Amino acid sequence: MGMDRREFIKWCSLLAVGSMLGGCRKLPFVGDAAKKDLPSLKMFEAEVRRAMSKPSHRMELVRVPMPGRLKTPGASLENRFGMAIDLDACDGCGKCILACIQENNIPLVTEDEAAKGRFMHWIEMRGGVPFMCAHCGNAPCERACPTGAANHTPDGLSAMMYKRCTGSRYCGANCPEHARKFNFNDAVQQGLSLKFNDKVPVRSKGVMEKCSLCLHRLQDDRLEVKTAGGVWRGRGVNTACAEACPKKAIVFGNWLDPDSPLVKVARRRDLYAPADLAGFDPSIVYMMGGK
Amino acid sequence: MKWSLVALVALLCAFFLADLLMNRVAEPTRRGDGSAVPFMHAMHGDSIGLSCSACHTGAYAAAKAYLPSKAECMDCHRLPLTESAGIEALDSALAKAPEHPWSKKSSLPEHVVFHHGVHHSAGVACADCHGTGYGADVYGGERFDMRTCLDCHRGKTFKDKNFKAAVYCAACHR
Amino acid sequence: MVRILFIVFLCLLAPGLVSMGYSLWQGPAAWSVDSGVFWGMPISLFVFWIGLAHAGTLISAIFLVLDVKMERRTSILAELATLCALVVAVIFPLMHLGVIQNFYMVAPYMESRGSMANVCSPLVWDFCCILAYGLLSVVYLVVHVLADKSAVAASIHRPLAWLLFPMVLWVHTIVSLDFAATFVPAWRGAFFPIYFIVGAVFSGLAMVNIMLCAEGYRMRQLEKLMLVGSWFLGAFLLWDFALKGNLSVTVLVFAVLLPQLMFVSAVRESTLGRVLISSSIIVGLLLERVFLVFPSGVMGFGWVDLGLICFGFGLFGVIFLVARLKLSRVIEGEEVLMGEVEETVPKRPATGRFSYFAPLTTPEFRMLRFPLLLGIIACTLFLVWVVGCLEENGIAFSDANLVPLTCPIITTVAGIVLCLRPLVMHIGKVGGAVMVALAALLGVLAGMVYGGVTSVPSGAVVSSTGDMLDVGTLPDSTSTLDSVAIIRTKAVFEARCAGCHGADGRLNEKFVREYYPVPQNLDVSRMDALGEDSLVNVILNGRTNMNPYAGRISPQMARGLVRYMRLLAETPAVDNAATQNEGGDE
Repeated sequence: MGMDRREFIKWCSLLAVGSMLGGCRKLPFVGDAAKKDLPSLKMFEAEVRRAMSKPSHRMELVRVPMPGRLKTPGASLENRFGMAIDLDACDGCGKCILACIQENNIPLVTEDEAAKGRFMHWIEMRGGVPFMCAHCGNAPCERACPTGAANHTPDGLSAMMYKRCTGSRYCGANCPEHARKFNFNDAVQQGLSLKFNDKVPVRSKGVMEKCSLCLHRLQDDRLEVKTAGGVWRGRGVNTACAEACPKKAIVFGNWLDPDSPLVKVARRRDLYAPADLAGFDPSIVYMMGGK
Repeated sequence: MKWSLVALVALLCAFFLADLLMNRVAEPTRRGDGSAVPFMHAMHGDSIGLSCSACHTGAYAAAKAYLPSKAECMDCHRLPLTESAGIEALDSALAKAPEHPWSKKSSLPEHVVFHHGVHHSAGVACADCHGTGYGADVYGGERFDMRTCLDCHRGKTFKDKNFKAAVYCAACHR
Repeated sequence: MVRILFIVFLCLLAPGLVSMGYSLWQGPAAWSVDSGVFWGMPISLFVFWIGLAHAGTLISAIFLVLDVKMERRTSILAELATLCALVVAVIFPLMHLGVIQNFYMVAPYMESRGSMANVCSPLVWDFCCILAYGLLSVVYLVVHVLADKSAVAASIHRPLAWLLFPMVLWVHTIVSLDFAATFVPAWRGAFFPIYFIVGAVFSGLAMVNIMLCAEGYRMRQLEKLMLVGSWFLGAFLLWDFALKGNLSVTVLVFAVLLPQLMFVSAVRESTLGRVLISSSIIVGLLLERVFLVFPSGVMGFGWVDLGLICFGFGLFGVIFLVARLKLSRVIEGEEVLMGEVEETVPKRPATGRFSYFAPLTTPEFRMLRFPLLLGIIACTLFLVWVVGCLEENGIAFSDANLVPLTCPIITTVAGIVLCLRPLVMHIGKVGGAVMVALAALLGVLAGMVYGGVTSVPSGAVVSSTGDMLDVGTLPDSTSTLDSVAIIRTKAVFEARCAGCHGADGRLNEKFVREYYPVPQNLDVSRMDALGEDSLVNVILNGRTNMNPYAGRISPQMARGLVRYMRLLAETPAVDNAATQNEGGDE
């Protein structure tokens, strides 16, 4: 080596800095990628069709009793929200998926991810069965979340607090049915996101998301009823997917309210849940037969 | 020994300084040409039987409380309300004022849901959060951060009022 | 020799830095994870490097307290290797986060917003344990290096080693619980803690062995331990296979079968042979971690994953060499001697070390008593506080979830108190200034962590309502003043009408007469006589002393207001004073 120590250190530092900067390819001096155009609704529809065309196998379903009160301390005695999906009526049209996308500002994914079949949709078709986060009463994902971003409301929702998420993805690893989606991309910056609905925040890069049971609709309704001084049972609220289903196969309601359309329908049918989730007290169940 | 004391003091000072800088309290920024209309809160309150929601129309039932538009002022001020000397100046100022004399930028983050109406129905008085400074037309200075909200929601402050507030995250966040 | 090693490690570090830079920019999309496999290379590397760190502590601290004679130089180098491995290890769980600036939310404390971390999660235990382990290792190395020159440091050397001993086992147990405390089938097993500890020590011993070979040393005890380690690992791998049917032949070959070649004296006696076997063990264990964390492992490897592996080794090598060179004067009093002198560790001398001490009277215990007591008190207070925070936050937990936090807290506090006492007595001006600067830095970091990330206000412009508060449902004959449907109408009435008409519909006595002309007295009979439509008309189009509200109130809302007013008129004027005075300052 012909150089002395000082020069050696200088060259090493330059090499180090250069390497790291070389890795950060989108720095301003390299040329910032121009903010892309907004996607169109057609692109979202096309992506839903693409997602549904991917082969997927049906989940194993087992009989479960009708969900009741949450077993956690402090659970509400009046409200436990959930859904029942009638598999005899569902024909796998996918309108629920598109409605969910528009209600919750769900972004598109890049071509790589789409090719692998990894989409951000909160509802997925698995062998013709629409599947979304089951809002388990005893959720393994909530136990695992280090920051408390994944938690359970007293009225039965498995809530996801995006600002408290640090992106460890431990919850995602702990969901037996892979219901959770991670924001690998900065959707807004990459032109993958369209803000369909002002009431729902667009998630930033690096946080987990999943079906929220239209928490924003429930919140707005609760606030209005409580402002008027009433007791809130969530009557009259419907999720976007339930509204969109042309066969009325998805029914949303309150498991603890005997007048809820959910209870009225589910009472007469056999209820099923994915085998992997049945032990975790899911709030979203399937209905087959048993009429 | 002396050095350890100095070190301890340095630690505490640095801690509080860093916390202060990291977490500046939300300061409502007020804009709009409010100076065009010389407004005095003291004259528009209990003395003439007006509640806060008479001008802040959303205060009792809506999410936001809003600031009045000129049309709302003119509902009463369409007539000269007193015979005092200043009324002519007021009326001419009102006539020249823009449609929305006051507006502000919300300091509430997008993921926070705050509903004025539900707090009013629960018995929270306007002054409980906004203080009474506005009575003397002194604005700002309210401490709106999550900790203040949580202290009341968890029953640490306003103990005498016995509020029953929601304490789970999804009650106020989305 | 040193220069060659430097060049090698720098060549590894360069692509490593590129990968790291890209990973930090791109986030988790950069390495081979997706929504099916959420944890990938960074976590495998984290477990791997933490494991390597343990062997260093094993040799320097554990062997010390167990009276295994060790050359000072070897043990300091091992301790240094621990620290360098820890530095590399800590980088990975930080860089793998989706939102790195939120990392402080994992720590179990109540931050300024009033949120508390979820103590049931093994990642929270991880945070505390690794932090404690890192701190203690730094302190231990400093003390160890000073022990030659300073009697004070020598006196706290063994007690500190005693503190570090359980920490090592605890930390890797917690790391194993990251996997074992979940329901994921491939990660099930009560044997995971021992499995991980054995794997960690085994890989670490291999690393130390390579280091010793580079220095031109040899330690036969170490080689024997390595061999035993390979047998234990083989047993665990077969046990795992029996339980779950997963077996990676590659790992078996590299980490269990190839090391048996140590029985062949040709391999054993040649430095190259020993280096190759140790490298094979390291490769085997790296692959073992990779397959554990993401079973789809090697198939999904991208250049970033390989780059991160290079980053780990490159950074470790560079830091270690730099520190080694800096410390060589301290350790040896002369310039680098790596590979220049062939030395063997002196045979274990007959010592009089097996003297008897009555229970709890050993000199180390007497030094440790007070710090330990403080540690236990601090831990108890901390846990009581944590329980309070958790209950306030409504986080369900069981007492078992708090146990993993005990050892790190106790050992950290005990370690700091142990070192602080002599330090405080013997500090000079420079030392004092350094202490003040460190304390200030600590305060700033603590303040930043306490304050948390600053919230971004939405900045949405709020002015007046426009046509807010649509009526929703019109009040009808069945409505009462308490109906939910009334709330919006009531709000508009109180906003726009109550100023003159009064909140109870019977005139606001404080305003009318004195300031404003008195409105009509609208009791039930008068309203019925006028008719609903004409009243709606008055609202929309105005009257003598009423502004037209058309454009500001919808016709629907106007109708609702008229009906509301009628409802008010029907309600007897009870408690007049109370209903009228919904003034501003309550």
